[in-house]
Amino acid sequence: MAAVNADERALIERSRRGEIAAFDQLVRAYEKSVYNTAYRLAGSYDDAADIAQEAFVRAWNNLKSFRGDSAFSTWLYRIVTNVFLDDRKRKRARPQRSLDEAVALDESSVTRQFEGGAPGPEEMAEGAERRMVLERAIQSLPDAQRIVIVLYHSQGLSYDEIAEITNLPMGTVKSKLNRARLALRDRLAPMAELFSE
Amino acid sequence: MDCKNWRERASDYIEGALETSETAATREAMRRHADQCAACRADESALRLLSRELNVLPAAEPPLFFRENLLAAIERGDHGAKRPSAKPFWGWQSLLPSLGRTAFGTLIAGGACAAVLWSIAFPRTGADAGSYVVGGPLAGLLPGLAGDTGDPSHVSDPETEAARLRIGRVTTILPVDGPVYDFSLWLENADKGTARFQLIGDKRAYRFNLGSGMAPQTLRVPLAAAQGGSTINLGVHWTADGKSHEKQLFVPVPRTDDRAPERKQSFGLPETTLLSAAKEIAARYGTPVTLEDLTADVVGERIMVNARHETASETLRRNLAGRGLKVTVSGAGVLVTPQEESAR
Repeated sequence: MAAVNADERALIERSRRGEIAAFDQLVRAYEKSVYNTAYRLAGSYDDAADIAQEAFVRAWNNLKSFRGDSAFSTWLYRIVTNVFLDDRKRKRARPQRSLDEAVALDESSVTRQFEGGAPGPEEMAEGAERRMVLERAIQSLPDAQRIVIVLYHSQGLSYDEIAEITNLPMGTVKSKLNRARLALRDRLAPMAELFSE
Repeated sequence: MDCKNWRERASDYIEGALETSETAATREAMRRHADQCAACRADESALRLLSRELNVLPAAEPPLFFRENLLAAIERGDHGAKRPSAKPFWGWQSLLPSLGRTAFGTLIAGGACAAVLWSIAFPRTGADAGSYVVGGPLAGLLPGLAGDTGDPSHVSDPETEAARLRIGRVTTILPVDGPVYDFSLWLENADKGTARFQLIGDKRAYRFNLGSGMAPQTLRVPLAAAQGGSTINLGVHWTADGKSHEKQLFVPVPRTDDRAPERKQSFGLPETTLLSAAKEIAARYGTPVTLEDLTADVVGERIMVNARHETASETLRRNLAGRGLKVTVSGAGVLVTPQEESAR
């Protein structure tokens, strides 16, 4: 993760002054990593879209408080993880699902109409099944462990960067990562043959 | 070195990242323990595999038009966003008193822009059932809406309270990013629902939550979504109070030449699916075509379409005769629905 370079600094400055075209360039640069982080944390495309959008809106609203001490991406990741945690808090306070969610979650019904045919056998190949099981296991982790796992593995960040994003000491980051991996390993143990080589 | 200690250091050991203060002796102790302890040995290989799998989880693609709609939300001040300092469009007054908010500015250049200006200046409207409006900002509500069966003389039946997804269209020009269509959507006769938009053939979607008490939502679609073609092809999967519906919209984009399409045309299409034929009709006539609540089988049916100096609706009506489909038309385009409608 590079430090803020001159071009990016200029875009941030212009965005701070309210220039949306400059902010557009920043969004282009970071939308994939912000969305992917949100998706790996939230576990659903729809929640991820809401989290990613809110993260960028918060970033836009709070650009004045970005001082350039850390990389812009670090600042953004911090916002995404905070939005995720706020979202989790909200959901815990309001656990009922809407009637339409169950219908809306059936995304395959839209694609089926235009792509034709049911998913082929290759779709349920071991790799895909492993991935699904792993994704579900990540979703079962406590929030803090989930964040560290996602930032480290999905976003490829270093311990240093994760420590900055989460405001935790490096030792704590390492031990959370360790505990998260062991927890995943334990949860996946019943499916050992799926995960053995 | 016992199992508990081993597990505490497992991650670092696997990554070769044990603290430098931990000597080679510790690493050696870890290795020796794993050699002797089957459980920890199993853990080591599971953790190594797990790490690899975690590293290669594929990246998820952002939703369709995520960036465009994020910026549009910021421009409007939605979701508590601070308004930008300079608005990207200026100059022209809104030409849509009822839908309100389109403004146009001076344009940098471009044939597409000229065509849109043309269509603003010379809209094609008419009182008869075959009329349509050429693309652009004067298009009002797309067909398939509450009370709008396409027959101008139709009076909305107050007893018919089927849930409806209303979609209105407003064109916005943004010289920086290229022209876009803003579609406003809202739900009628239902408490809550969702709408999921896709470009036909693309897996990514943009989703909205809708509700009777909510203000209309806006979907921004860049005209570039036409991908060089003459239409933007949208599939909408929408739900209301637990029931789901499908809609396909073919929305023409402004032409790069200065001519408006002929209202009555003659041509023959090679055999194709109803879906493709609808798209082709929208493109040739420059009028939106909507397919509503047709099953995948019907939409995929092969048909031959020809036009004999006919309007878009006349062409469709004649070519689709006998298939249990109804073709209706309004000032905003052509609508194809199943003949036996549950409520309308």
